[in-house]
Order: sequence, then structure tokens, then C-alpha cells
Amino acid sequence: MRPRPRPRPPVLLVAVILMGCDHTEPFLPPPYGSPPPPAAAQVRLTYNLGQDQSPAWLPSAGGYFYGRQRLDRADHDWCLALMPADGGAIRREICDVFPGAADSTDAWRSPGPGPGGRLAYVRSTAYAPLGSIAPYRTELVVGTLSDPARGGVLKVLPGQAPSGRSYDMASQIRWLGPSSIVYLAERVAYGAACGSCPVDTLRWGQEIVKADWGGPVPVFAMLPGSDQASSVAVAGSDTVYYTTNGDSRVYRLVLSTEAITVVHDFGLAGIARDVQVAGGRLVAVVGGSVSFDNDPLIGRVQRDGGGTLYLVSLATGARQALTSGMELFRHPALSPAGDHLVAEMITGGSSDIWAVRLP
Amino acid sequence: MSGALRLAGALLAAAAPLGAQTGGAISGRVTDALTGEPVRAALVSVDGGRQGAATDSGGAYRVREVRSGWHRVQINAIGYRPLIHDSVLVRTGETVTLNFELHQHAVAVDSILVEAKPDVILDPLAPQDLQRITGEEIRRLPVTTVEEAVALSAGAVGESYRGGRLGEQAFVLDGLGVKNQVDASTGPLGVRIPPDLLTEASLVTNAFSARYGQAVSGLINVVTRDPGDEWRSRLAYETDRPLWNGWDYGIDRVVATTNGPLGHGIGLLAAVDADTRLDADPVNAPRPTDPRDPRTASPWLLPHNGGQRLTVAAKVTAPLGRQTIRLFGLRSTDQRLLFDPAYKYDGAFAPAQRVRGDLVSGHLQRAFGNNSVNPMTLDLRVGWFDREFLRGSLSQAPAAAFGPFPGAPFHFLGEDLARARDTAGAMAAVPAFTPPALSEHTPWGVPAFFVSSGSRGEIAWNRFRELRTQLDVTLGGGRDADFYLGGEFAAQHVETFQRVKAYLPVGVSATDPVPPPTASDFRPHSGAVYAETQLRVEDLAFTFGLRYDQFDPRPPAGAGTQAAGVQRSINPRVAVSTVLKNATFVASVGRFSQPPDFQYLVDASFDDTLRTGRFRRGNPSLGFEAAVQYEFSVRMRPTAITAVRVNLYVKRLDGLVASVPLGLDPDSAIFGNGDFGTVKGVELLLERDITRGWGVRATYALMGATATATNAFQILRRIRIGTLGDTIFPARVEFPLDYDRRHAITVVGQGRVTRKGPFSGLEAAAIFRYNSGLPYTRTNATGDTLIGLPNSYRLPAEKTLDLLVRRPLSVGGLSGGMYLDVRNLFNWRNLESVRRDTGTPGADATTIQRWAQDAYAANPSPIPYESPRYRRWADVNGDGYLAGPGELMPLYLAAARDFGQPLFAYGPPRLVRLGVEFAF
Repeated sequence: MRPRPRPRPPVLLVAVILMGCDHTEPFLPPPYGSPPPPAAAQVRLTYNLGQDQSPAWLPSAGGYFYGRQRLDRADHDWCLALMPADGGAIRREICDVFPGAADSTDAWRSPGPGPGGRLAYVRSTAYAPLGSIAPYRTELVVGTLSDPARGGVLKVLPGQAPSGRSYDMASQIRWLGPSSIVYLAERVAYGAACGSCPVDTLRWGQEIVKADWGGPVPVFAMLPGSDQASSVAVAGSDTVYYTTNGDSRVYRLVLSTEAITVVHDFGLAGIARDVQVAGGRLVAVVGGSVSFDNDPLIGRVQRDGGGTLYLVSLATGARQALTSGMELFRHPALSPAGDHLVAEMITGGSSDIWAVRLP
Repeated sequence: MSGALRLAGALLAAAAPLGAQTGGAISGRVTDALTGEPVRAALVSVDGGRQGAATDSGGAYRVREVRSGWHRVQINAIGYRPLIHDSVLVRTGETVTLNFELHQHAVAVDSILVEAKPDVILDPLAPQDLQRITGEEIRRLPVTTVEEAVALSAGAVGESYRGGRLGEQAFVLDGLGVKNQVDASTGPLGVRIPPDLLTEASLVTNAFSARYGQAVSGLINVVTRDPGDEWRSRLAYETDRPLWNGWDYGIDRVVATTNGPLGHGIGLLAAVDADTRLDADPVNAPRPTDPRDPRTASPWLLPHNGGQRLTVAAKVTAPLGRQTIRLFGLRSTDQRLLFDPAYKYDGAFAPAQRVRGDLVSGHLQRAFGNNSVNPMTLDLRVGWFDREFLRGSLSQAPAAAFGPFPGAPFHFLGEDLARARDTAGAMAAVPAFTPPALSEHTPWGVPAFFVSSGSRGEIAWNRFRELRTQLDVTLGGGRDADFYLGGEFAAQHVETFQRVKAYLPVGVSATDPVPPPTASDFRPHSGAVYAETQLRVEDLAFTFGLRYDQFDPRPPAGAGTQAAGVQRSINPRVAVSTVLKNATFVASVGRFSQPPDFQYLVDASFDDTLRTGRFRRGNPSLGFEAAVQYEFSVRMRPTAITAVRVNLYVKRLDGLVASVPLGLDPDSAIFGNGDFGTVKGVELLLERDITRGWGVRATYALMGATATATNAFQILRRIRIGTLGDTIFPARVEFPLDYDRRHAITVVGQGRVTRKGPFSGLEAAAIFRYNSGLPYTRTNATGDTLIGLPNSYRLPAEKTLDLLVRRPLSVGGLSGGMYLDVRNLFNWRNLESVRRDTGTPGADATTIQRWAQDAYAANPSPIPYESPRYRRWADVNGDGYLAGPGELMPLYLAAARDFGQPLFAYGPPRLVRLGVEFAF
């Protein structure tokens, strides 16, 4: 039997080289941040010492943005943070990083992620060293997730609402289409109960504004029936849900027909606000620490310190409380499929983001 | 008269060309084999008659300016049988002595007698200190580039020669000077010559011909080979891919060369030399002790430190009448990712660099007359050099195509702005730049030391273009004299642009103001003429040379500073040599000068982390930097195959560029010709030719190099010295220069197994280096006060052993070889730098504690659970916060230790490459 020929060293060398894997890669940092917390009926997702407010889901449901007050920064800026759907470490934070702005408080809040990688938000600037509370300039900005800082300014505030009234702030930005949003036009007032008491910021809704910039110039219009609106939600591009100050009812407006119907009335449960609709479900904050009265100085105003989260089936009208009356929630955000709910919980004057399990 | 003296006399009979040229000479005597009488009017032809000479009445002949390389020499005489010698090796600066004995037609004997080999050791007409390495030797030694090969020479410290600063050397390619005149002292030349193209490369450190200028420290002379008469190619690939972990540094290198005739006498030589390195500058730094540091698990590779080099070159030779025209073209690109410890975890924002160099040159040689003294040879050379340098932030991360091979040029943020030298547009924050923020992607999480989100904001760009024309005339003055005349003119174009912190508008900053961008655009002219002669008088040989240089910066109209106009420099060079008792003695003195880097003619703004200054005013009135060198050399040949050379030299430096203070403000300085110094040393070279399978070359250099400043950016300050605390200007005291290496030993050995057997044909080459440490400066912890005088401390000595083993192989009819190339075989950890404040590679515990304390004090805020900075393992009480010094300080300390790792304090580790090559 002839012995099998042994591979010659050069052949072996070439074979080894050809089989060689890719070169060793230099190390890349792994994701060092926190893992998602274990699931529970209510899970605290943020521990920020500052305020965490106004979550809003990405259309992909991969996570949600919220406004985050950075007390660890000398200027106490607010940033927009992107949290994974199940919580854990923040994936991205969008702040005003211009070094020359370190002497001012720059607040980027009320995120409104939209289709096609768009992001609308509100940014305002106040001179922190001067002890200024009220921002001297506020802008409603429409940009992109890839470069949010270079977005276009859609509206400079304070400004005039389509109804002719002035308003100071915009919030609850919801997308109707690639170039169309609705948002809540708000009034803002600053007051203190006594001379030495801390100044309190009051924000209350005034009307819902639809902004459309598909044409050569942006067009702003007040939605019919939205006077004294306190919250707004959308379902598709033609249906808007909203609530009004001092009212326990949730309204539905079909934009194409301007037909307005009451979707649900929480009745004695209290004033309804912060409505969210997705996946055939409606979530709203009802009752709790809320009041609506006529202030001699600033007129009709709804003060909101949070309330109970309620879930309503749009198909059956059945509703159930998701949280107890002991916990005060605000600004819930229902994921696009209606299967995840996050909201602000107010504790001791601060607010953090919590996840609330849906049935 | 002894045999050696007779040999020397024979050599003296033929005047040799000066060193540092592209060619040598062939000379000798033609006699009748029967009678011994000289043969008169015999025609000696080189390479088919492109060059030649006729013998005189004494039978002597001489062919000058023969290119370095292999040649075919034919001799014809009426009545005698013609003789052809196919393989005559001519080397730069040497004279090949070919003595022929011709047989009359009636005698049927065919013989050529070469009575003497070229011997530069004993040739008194080669006065220069020349250390040569051939292209073939580079292939056989564990070196990769021409620069590495030249660095084996005595007196070389990397790319510093005889203690000089970087960039004080001239690079001569095929007789034409190529120099990065913009920033040679801080940047690379920009072109790399593939070693496969070389006939030889040499380093000349003194007494080089007056033909060459633009150098103070030395001359690197590179001669490329000509295409051959038949097609030959070589393909080589080397890699460390099959290796693993610490043996795999991501090296791939491909070299392809081909040359041959294209017909009609036209020849082509082309080469591609490409290499990529995942870690282009590996270091032998110790493994960190913290297990959470990623380098602990894989300490061998630095992140974001890859590099790619690509050189494409071609040479065409074509007949032009009886002469030959040579055209050469080359493009080199070298792009690097630059590791910055602050960007260790966010490499996308780390700086990068790209250098491109284009070179096109032409050479036409014309010899007039083939008479006995070859009265005149004329060389016309024209070269176009275009070099562009860019450093800054990449506009997008390079896509790796093969290993780290990006496959496309790097593009940088603000590149267009820089090319347009748009200083007005650069006053505002440059678009696409974002300010850096403290990174949250580190294992430690805490906001300290490491940055991300934006780069340092640097845009550094310059471009240098030059059209150089050089005319050289060689005149024969009989057998005892040669005359060299010539001149050169270079029209140059310099463009620069610099911007720092481009993410900020000029003048705006929370801490330091942002300096304005600087730019320049001017078109200097440089020129030189020279004359030189070599004479023999009895046993003495004299070389007299005189070179006149001038340059005119020609700043643009309206420039803020008035230039002094044309700068001039006269450089005489004299050498005397003789042969006494088996030795050649050479005494020489020469003045050498070079224009300063043009970067010092314009304003410089730079971000200096040591805060020694961030702005220097340019000075268009700068003059020549110069050196006068006195040297005495002895060259001996104790046996036929051994040689000994000893060089003793003193070099006086004058007018080197330094930063001269304009006032008390440390940021206010201007470049000036304010530095001077002294270099003195002894070099000993021992050589044994490769005979009976082995050869060795050993060099020892003892050197002392001092000056009043060590680089152009160093400000001449007042310094307190002595026990009485006298305050003096440093211009009155000299300090060791940065490359003042006192002792350097290099041993290069080569061997080959000639016996038949399993190891037949096996070749091995080794390089051992032992170098004493370079000087460094100590400062206090804040860096603003010197401890002792500048460069008064020394690093420890360093040593390396490199090895290359090659085995011939034959595959499918192709011959070739496989080789193993190992650098730093024993993985010696060499210390190349230390911290100025501690004198050790890393920061001491006190310093690290201070860093951590300062960082904690700047950011003491608790870190909540959802923050990307939160590290669960550091949350001791599990409350969802990292808060207080108990939880945060360990993180800050770990981050400080990580950031302070002294990576580049160490030299390269062991590098292993496997290679395979084929010739066909």
C-alpha cells in the first residue's frame, strides 16, 4: 500500500493562511448600563433625582422618549432620554451640548417621536444665573432622530394661538402624518402661596392646535371643540381623542367630518385628562389631586397633581382602575400596540417614570 | 610597495565619483595579453553603447556616472577579440576597476581578468561616511521599509541622524532631492519607496557632495533599479493571521513587482506595496491589573489604532537616440487612526491622519564623446512632488473591507474648508463638529477622563507642491581630476490651514479662548549652484566643493509680516584623504545648511495639553539652519573580507528654529533662528563580508548632542541654575538634544546553509540593537516648573533582537521562499518615554488619587439606576443610586488608573510575521 502523500509545508502554510479567521478585533465596549428591572405590577424605571416627565413611545414601540431634568449638571438642563421598552439603561440622551450655553438652563421636553425618524419637541431657555424661572424663549422644533438639534423651528413661544389667544407652551405632541401634528397649547403661570413659599409653576391646557407644514408655509388651526382642552391623543391620521378642563368625559373628533362624540364618561370618578388610545384601548388619568376653578388673577385654571390610571376598552366601554388612589400618576404613554404602559408617578414633589402592567 | 599600497595606487589612478549620487564609475586598464603593452583606442561600451569611453595611450579608460546596478561591459579594439562582461556591479560612490587583457584574433583564448573589486573602504576618493544597504539585503533582513533599513546605520536614532532633529536630512531619489519642506520636523516625507524597487539605499552623514543641500544631519540616497531585459516578477504576502491572541496584530502586507521589456527598447518596472495593520503602533505595555479593564483580557491590541499604507510606483526607461530617458512615478498614501486614551471607549471620535505623496520625475543623461577621458556627462532631472497632510476627525468611520483595510481614502470633517483656506468661514463653529462630552461607555461609568459625542475639533491641513529642475555636469580632467558643476531650481507652493476646537466659534469657550484659524498660501523659490572637484596629487586625494543656496519665501502681498527677502547661504566643503599602511585616512570639513520648515514661516495655533503655549507667530524672515562639521575618518581592511571604519566628528549647529518669547505671556512667542548646539561623536564600524556562508556587520556609536532648545516649539526661557540660583537665558547653556543617544550598538548578521541536506538553502538574518537611553525633562506635578535642566534625565537602555529565517521553496514550477520574520524576539519591554512629573512610565498613586478626587469634586452627583453610567456592581447598598464617596470614589479611582495607563511609554512587542514569496 502506498503511503498517502504528506502535505508539504508550503501547502500547509497557504492553507492555514486561507483558513485564517478575520483578524482579532480590538475590544469594543459592551453595553455597560443597567439591565431591565424584573417585571411587576408597577415597576419603577427611573431613579433620577430631578423630574422625569412626559413619556412618548417611538412608532416602532422599541422604546420611548421622556424629558429628564439633569440636576447633576450645573445648569440643570432638561434632556430628552430614550429608554428601552422594558426599562434599564437609557440608550440615548439628547441635550443642548453647546458649551457656550452652560450659563443657561436649556430644557428640551415634551418629545413627540414621529414616523420616518422624525422627532418634534419643545425647547426653552432660561437664564439660570439670573434666577430666572420663566424661559425667555421657547420653540416648538421639528427635527429628526439622527440630528434633532438641527431641526426647524415650527413655532416660537409665547405666541398667538389660532383662536387668537396667546399661549406660552406646547405639549403632548402627536403626529397625524409626515408633516402634520397636533399639540396642546398651554398657558403657564408662576405663583407662590406666600411671600416665602416656593414658586409653583402652573400649566393648563387652552386648546388643541393642528400644525401642517406640507405647504409652502406652515398652517396652524384650532381643532373644533378643543377649547379648554387638557389633553390630546390620536388614532390614525383622522381621529383625535381629547379631554377638557374640569370635565370627566373623553371626546373623539373625526377630522375629516369634524364630528365630535363622547367616547367615555368617567363620571364621579373625577376629572379625566391625559388620554391615550392605542390597540383598542384607552387610558386616562382620572380624579386624584386635580382641581378646576376660576382664579381671580389668571382665570379658569386646572391644577393637576396626578391621579388614578384607568383603562377603558373601546370595544365594550368597560373600564378598570390600573392603580390605587394612593398613587398619583400623570402623563401615561400607551405603546403603539396598546400592550405597554408607562407613566409619571409623582412622589414628594418629584416625578419618575414607572411601568404599569396592563391586564 | 606593499600589495595593499599597489592596490590603493591602482584605485587612485582612477578618480572616483563623489558619494551620494546615483551612480559610480568603471575604470581600469586594457593591455595586450601577450606583450603586456597598453592597448590604445580600445572602445569600452556600457549597456550596448549608451555610455562608454576609449582608452588613452596608457591603456587607461574611465566611464563616469554609471548608474548603480548591474551592467554589461563590452570592449572592442581593432585586431583584438571583443570581450563582454555581463555582470558588472556598480554601486553608488564606488569605482569598479576592470582591467582587461585582450587577445589578438589569432589567439583562441577567451578570458577576462578582473584584477580588483570595488573597494570603498580603501578608496581615498570616497571621502564620505557612507553606509549602504542594497535592495536585496533589505529583503533578506528583518526590516520592512527603507527607513528601517537606513536606521541600522551608525549614528541613526530612528530618523534622526547624528543627534539632529527630525527632518534635518535630505532624501535623494535617483539623484533628485525630495523633501517635505513644510513640516519635515514634525511630519513624514509622504512618499515611501517599495524596497523591491531599490538597487540600494545609503546614509551619508558627512562630506557628501556639494551637489546636494537642504540637509544638516545627513543624506539618504536611494537608487532605483532599471527594468531588466526579460520579464521577471515577484509576489509576496506576509501576515500574522494564522497566529492567535497576542501574536496576531492584524498585519497583512502584499508586495507585487514586475519588470521587463515592452519592445522598442522600452522597459517597465512596476511595484505595489500595500499593508494594513489593525494596530499600527503596537506597544509592549503591561497588562492592567483591574479585571474590568478590557485590556486585562486582551492587552496586546490598542483600539482604534489601525493603519493602512499603499504605494504604487512605476518606472519606464526608453531610448532617446543613444541615451536613455528614465521616467518615474509614485503615489503613496498612509492613513492612520490615532489612538487617543481619552477616546478609548468611543473611537469613532478619535483623531485620524492621512498623508498622500505623489512624485513624478524624469532623468535624461547625455554623454559627449567616447574619448579617453570621457570629457563631459550631462544629467538633467526634473521632478514634481505633491504632498498633502490631513489630521482631524473622520467624517465617517472607515468601512473595513479586508481586515482593517478601509479600501477608500479617509475623509475628514472640515476638509473642504481647509482646502479652501477659508479662515473667515472657519470663525464660526464648523458644521458637523460636535463638542466632546464625558463618556458614559466606560466600565466605570463615572463622568471623568474619557470623552465621546464629539472630537477634539482639530483640522490640520497642509499641502506642499514643488517643481524641481536639476542640471549636473560631470567633466573629466584627465586621469587625476574630475569636475562637477551644476545647479537646481525649485518652484514651490505652500498651503496650510489649522483650526482647533472647531465645534466652537472663535473666541468662545468656557475656559480658554478659542484661537483664530490660521492659513497661508505662498510660493517660495529655492535655488542652488555648486562646483566641485576631486584631484589626486601623488598619494593624496583632495575634494573641494562649494555650494551656494538661496531661498525666497515670497509671502503673499499684504502679509502681516515683511519678509527679509532672499536668504542666502554659502557652503564650502573640503576633504583630504590618503592611504597609509593598510588604511585610508580622511579629514574633512564642510558646512551644510537647509531652509527651515516653511511651517515656521506662518502662524501656528495648536492645542497643547502641556500648556506650553498654543500660538506661535510665524516669521517669514527666518534664515537658513546650518551646521559645520569637522571629521576625521580611518578606514582599514585588516583582511580581504573584513573592514574597520572609525569616524570622529564634531558638528556645530547654528540658527536652528526655536520659539522666542515676545513678552511674559507664555502664549506669545515667535519662531526665530535662535537655537545653536554641538554634536560630537565617534562611530566604529566592523564588517565581515558574506563569505563561506556568513557575514556580520557591527557598529558602535558614541555621541553627545546638545543645543539650547530641543525643538522649534520649545520656548527659550529663563532658567534658574546653580546653587546660587542664578537666572540666565538658556541661549547661554546647552542641553542634551532629544536624540542625544550616548551609546548605540547594532549588530547585523547573515548566514546561509550551503551544505546539502534538509536545511540546504536556509537563510537566516538577525539584528541586535543595544541603545542607551534618550534624555528627558523632569517637571513638577503642575508641569510649569522644571526639575533640573532640560533633558537632564535619562531613560533606561533598550535592546531588541530581530530575526528572519527564509527557506527556499518551489511550487508548481515557481521558485520562491517562505519566511518567518520576528521582531523583538525575546519580547523585551523597552521603555521609550516616562512622565515628566514622576520620571516613571505611569502616574504614581498620589497623582491618581488626586485625579480621582478632582474628578469626583467636579461631578459628585448621584448616578441613578437608569443612567448609562450606573454600574450595578458598584451600588453597594442596592438603592438604585451610585452616591457618595463610598460608592463613587472607587469608580473614579479605577477610571483614573485606566486613563493613566502608560501605553506609549513602551516600545513595540514581539511581532511575528509569516511570509511567502514567489518569483517568476
